[in-house]
Amino acid sequence: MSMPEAVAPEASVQEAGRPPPLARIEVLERDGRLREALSVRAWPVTLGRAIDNDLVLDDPHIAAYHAVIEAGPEGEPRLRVLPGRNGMRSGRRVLPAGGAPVALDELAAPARPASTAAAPREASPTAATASPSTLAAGTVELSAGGVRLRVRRATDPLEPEREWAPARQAHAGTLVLAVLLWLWVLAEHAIGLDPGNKASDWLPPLVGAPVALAGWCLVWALASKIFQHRFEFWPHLAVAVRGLLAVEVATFVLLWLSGLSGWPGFARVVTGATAAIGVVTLWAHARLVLPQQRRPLAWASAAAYLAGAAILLALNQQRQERWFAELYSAMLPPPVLMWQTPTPAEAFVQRAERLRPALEKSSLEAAAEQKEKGDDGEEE
Amino acid sequence: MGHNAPMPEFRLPPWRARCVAGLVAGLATAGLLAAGLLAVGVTHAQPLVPAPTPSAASAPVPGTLALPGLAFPTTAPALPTPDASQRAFASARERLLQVRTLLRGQDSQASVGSGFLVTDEGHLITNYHVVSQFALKPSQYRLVFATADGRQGALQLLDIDVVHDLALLKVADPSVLAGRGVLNFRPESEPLQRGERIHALGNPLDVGFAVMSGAYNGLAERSYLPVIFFGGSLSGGMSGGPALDERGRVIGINVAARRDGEQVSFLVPAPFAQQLLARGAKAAPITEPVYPRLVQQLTAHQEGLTQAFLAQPWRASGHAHYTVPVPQEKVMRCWGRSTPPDARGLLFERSDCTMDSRIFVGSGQLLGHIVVRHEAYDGRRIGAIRFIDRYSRSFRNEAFGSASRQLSAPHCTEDTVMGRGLPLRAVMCLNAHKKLPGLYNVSLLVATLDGSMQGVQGRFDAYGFSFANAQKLAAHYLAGFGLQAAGAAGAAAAAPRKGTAP
Repeated sequence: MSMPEAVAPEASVQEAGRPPPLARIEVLERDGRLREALSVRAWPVTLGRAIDNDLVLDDPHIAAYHAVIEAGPEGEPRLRVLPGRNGMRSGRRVLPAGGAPVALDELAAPARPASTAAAPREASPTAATASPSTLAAGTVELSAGGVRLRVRRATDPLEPEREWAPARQAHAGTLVLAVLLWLWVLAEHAIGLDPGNKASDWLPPLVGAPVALAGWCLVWALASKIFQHRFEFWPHLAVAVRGLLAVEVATFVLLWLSGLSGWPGFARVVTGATAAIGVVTLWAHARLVLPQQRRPLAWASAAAYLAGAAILLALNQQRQERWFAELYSAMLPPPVLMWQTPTPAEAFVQRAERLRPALEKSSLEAAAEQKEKGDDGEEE
Repeated sequence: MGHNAPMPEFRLPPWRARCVAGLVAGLATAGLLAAGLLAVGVTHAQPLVPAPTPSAASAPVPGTLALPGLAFPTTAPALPTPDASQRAFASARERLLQVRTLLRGQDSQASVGSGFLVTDEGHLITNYHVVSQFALKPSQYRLVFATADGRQGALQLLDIDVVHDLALLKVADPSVLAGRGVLNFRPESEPLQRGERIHALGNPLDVGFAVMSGAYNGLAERSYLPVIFFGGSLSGGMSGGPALDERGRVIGINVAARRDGEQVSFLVPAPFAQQLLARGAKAAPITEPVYPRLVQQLTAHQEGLTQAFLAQPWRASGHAHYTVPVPQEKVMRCWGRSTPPDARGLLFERSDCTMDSRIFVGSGQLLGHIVVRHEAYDGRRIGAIRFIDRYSRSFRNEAFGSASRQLSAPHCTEDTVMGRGLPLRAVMCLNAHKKLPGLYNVSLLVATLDGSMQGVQGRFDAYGFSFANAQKLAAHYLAGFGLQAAGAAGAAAAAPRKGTAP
């Protein structure tokens, strides 16, 4: 069926004798799922707890007759919150009980640039699971007590139909990466085993690693099920596989860079780099679970990482008198890859002289502290 | 260190039973930690009264107590009469004191040991480790004596000899102990014979004054500092007590015992106590922490040890491809082990060389000694890729001590270094002794880099050395790594060092 999107086919809506719908009022669960909907063909519409309302809202924080949406002088729908205790809200705007009527147009979500509205990057990793709760332009969101309402009007523009991207395509890349990761783990295991090992030695990477990964993704998928009502196993697998692979590759590259260059800085940042990848991975999982909270989650993740790093660095400095726990670079390059020019042994030993000021400083500090406290406040 | 390696000697634990684990980190591969557990403590030894039985010690014993490593078994000495030790104990009993370290301001004892009167003015000798708490923190502790008959009084610390673990004390009010007489030292001109009966006096575990009789076995072998090997039992609480010959003359001071054997105990030779007495008898009482004196004595000790160590060429390790620095076993003891020949993984041979002589400075601090270790790896059974993995892993995870009240954090430098024709990865770490300015622990970690399936990793540790000597020892150690000359494999690994010795 290819037909212009915003034009209603004549026969289907224009039912015999009934006026066309003006609006649709939807009652949403706290998590955004639709609980019930009322098709409005004539204003006014009354909202409240009493059963003779047009829309009955069963919530103790709602008055018997809580609000009414009525046509204004020009026929435009207006919300009038009736006298009562709690009033209503629309976004951050408070609509006090008994206040003046407010045109729904004032409360409508602003139209967004088309690029944003339809951009695939708004969608989660697989386009098919694009968030349904993205507010369409013109929609009015209201809340009263614990009830969320959404008002869509016939005049609101509709977003163009999105393309349905079959999930399988998106999964192909993930599968390739998952196999790569598995091969990586198997290779590491093979190197770790001595020759002549038993077949059972291969159980951990062959069975344990895939099962552990699947279990991890299962837990996240269950979280998605709870919050999004979708069991998003594959999207979580995509996140986990990429994260783990990134950790493996980063560790490998940094350690070898350190070994080959002889510069210990590369080895020192391994912990920080892998932790950063871990935090990003967790954030990616979390944003699948709570897509509306992506930005706060990103800030929280970054803040947690920075706070963790600061604490770790400070502890290292306090306990070890240095910023990084790694004392020396432990990767020894094979002879064919060793391109550094060795230092003469005497020069190396002489260079230890450079350590002397820092060493003497710590004993001077201890002596000063001792003098301050009398002979020695040591307790054991 | 291997399970068959002996535990180092124990100083007699004090009745406060403080144990100090001196953990010596081993090379990092699979469980190759060398762990030397040292119990440091002092117990007090109550004096035995020597019976004036003349001993048959007239055979010439070569060497005085000042030289290590003499002893061969000689003919059995004359057996003492059954009551010899009884009489020894009875006559020495009055001159034995229990030395107690009390917390200042209260009467609870922090540790107890023994001591004995050596002059009529009230000088007494004990171990440094009996009084180390007071010596390091005189504002927190005080020293008192107690006699077998229940008298008590204050003690003053006059001088210490930390290297030989001796301290010279004086009774604050000599009149309290007037007329008790003194224990005399056996003249050096009358050396004891091996096998001769001697009696260690003390108060083991604070149970009561006791005599522990045993045999004189000469000086302990391979000990840098001379100590008498006493074939008898010493327990915590006897530290600082005298060991007497059959005529009641002091030949040594109880100091330590091995816990992994039976009746393997050690005495400080008496001449060191005589020297301390001569040096410090007129000294003013110590009221400040003795750190400056410790630094002075330890500095002199490490100077001598460094020179002696540098003067020795490395000996052959027996490796076919490399020369590896392995110390002479004159003052060190080396233990080796290797993977079983049918092992299917990385093969290695390991050597751990440690010194028996370690100087107790304070709780947990044993200085003035050297540890040399290495592991030779053969990866031909596992191939080059696995070898790289295992070899790097082995190089990782070496510990270099962490910051504490006594020690600074390690500060390290690392580089690829050229040994004698052999590229090496070397990591050199130093920790400063915060309270012993000028003294450092130095650790040098070395791995050979020329082999894709074989290599040697070594570690050298020296505890309590000057910066200059730490550098000299490190250079000496690095110079011990090289390639075997073609055709001379296995021989003459003790190649001459480059001129790094003083």
